[in-house]
Amino acid sequence: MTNLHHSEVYIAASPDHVFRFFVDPEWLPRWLGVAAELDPRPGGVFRFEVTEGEWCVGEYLDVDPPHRVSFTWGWENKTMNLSPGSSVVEVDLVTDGGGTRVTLVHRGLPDTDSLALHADGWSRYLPRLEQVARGQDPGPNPAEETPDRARNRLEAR
Amino acid sequence: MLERALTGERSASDLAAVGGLSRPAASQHLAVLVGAGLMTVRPQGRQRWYRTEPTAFDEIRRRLDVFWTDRLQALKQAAES
Repeated sequence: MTNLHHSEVYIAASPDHVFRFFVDPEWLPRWLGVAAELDPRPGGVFRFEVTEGEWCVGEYLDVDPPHRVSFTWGWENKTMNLSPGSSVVEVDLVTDGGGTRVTLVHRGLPDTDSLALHADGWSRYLPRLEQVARGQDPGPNPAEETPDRARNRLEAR
Repeated sequence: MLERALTGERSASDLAAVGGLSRPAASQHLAVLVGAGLMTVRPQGRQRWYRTEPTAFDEIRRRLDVFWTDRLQALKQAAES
């Protein structure tokens, strides 16, 4: 799979404490999204609302507290063509002194054709994710734009 | 489709075939990709020629990078507070 992103952060808290932020539906929205529905066991639902009405959906793969959790993700809105389960996020939590080193890898789709087909989903949602990440309101939901409206909008340029 | 149109202009029919999509479905996807700035389109008569912006994949990666970097900082703040 294509590695889309890899990063790490050191957190001055125990792995048990940090792990909870990936599996507790009350805790996930404290750093990711605004609401969540989580069933933290292999095959269980991993679902969170990025902004109002837009749901990122996948399922848990590995759930090994407190050191490893992974889940798939995609967009619930079918017109975005990035179906749930089309990418994978893998998180490792390693004890480091009195804290935790968190490593996160986001893997893409298995081949570049799939990545290209799904890029329309990413291209529409990533700018919104970027804004949400910065604490900004990303504006109206682009998923509500029908293909006709999209065509009209583009041809009006 | 993005990869195919990286090496040169392609027609919508060509890209539909590559993507395994019907023409209408491909046109819909292409419209979104153009709208997002990942592809450009040049109409010529009844044909529309699509080309991928060279930075398209880099742009997708950059936006993901920004997203996750910010989210991990938010996680750190929430976990340490």
